[in-house]
Amino acid sequence: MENRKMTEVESLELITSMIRSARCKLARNSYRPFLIWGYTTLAITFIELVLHLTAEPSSPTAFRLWLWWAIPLFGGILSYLFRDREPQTKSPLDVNIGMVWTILTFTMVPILTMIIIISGSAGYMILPMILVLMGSATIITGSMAHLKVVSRGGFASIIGAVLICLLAYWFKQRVGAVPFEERGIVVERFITGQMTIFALSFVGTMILPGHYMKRMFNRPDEQ
Amino acid sequence: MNNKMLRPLNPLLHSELRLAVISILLSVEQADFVYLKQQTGATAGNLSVQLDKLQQAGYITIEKGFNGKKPRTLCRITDKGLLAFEEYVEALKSYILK
Repeated sequence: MENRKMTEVESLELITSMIRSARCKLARNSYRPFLIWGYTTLAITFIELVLHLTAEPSSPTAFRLWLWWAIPLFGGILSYLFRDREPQTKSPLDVNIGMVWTILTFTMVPILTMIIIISGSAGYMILPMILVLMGSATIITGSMAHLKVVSRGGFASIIGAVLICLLAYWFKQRVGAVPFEERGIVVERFITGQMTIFALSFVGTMILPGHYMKRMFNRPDEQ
Repeated sequence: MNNKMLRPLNPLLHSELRLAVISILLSVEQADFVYLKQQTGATAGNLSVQLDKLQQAGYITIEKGFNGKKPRTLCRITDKGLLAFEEYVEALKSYILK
C-alpha cells in the first residue's frame, strides 16, 4: 500500500475493506475457547458417567460431585496454554465478551459450591444450572459478536436444561411408583439420561459452533 | 451550484495508507505495528512515517513498550481522530452523492 491520493470511491472502498478485514481477524481465533471448553466438558462428563456406572450403589457421591470442578480447572489450564500469546489487537468487543465470561465464572463458583455442600438431591441441580449459565453467556456472546451460529448454539444448552428438568419430573413420578428394589435402575437411567443430555447440549453449544467458526474464519479467501 | 456543497477532504486522511490505518484502528481498540503492517501491506519505513504524521495531528497515540523481551509499538485512535474520520466520511458522501 502506497501513500497516494485516491478518488472518493476508492476511499470508501478502502475504508470498507479495512474494517471488514480487521473484524475477520478478530473472529479468527474466537473458536478456540469453544473447542477447549466443549471437549473438556465432554471428557469430564464421560468420566463422570463411567464412574457412576461402575461405582457401587452404596458408595458416596461427594467425590463424583467435586469432580465436576475438573471442568473449570482443566478448561482454565488449557485456555491458558492455548491463549493468544501476543495479541496484535484488542477491541472493545474482546473486553466486553471477556467481562461476560468473567461474570459467569464468578456466578458459577458460589452456586456450584452451595449445591455440592447441600449435596443429596440438590446434586441433580448441577447439570441444568451449568447449562443455563453457559447457554446464557453463549447467547450474549453470539449477539455481541453478531455470530448467529453462536447465539443459536447457546439455545441448545437452554433446551438441554429444560429437558433435564422434564427428566427430573419423570424421575420423581417414577421413583415413587416402583418397588424399592427397582429404584436403583430408575436412578441409574435418570443419571445416565441427564449426563447424555448434558453432553449433547455442549456439543450443540460449544463444539459444533467452534468447528463452524474455525472453518469459516480460516478460509484462505477470508484473508 | 453543486460544487459549493462539496466539503473539503481532510488531506491528512485522504491518503491510502493513513486512511487504511485509521479505518483499522476504528474497528479495534488498539493494534500493534506488526498487525498494521500485515493488514496494509506497507513497508515498515513508510508505515512508521505515516503513523508519526497521524500522531502529530493528534489522531492516534503511539505507545512503545515491550512484550517480554520483544519491543512492541501499540497504536490507538483518539477522540480527535474519530471525529476527523467522521467528518472525512461526511465529506466523502457529499462528493459521491453530488
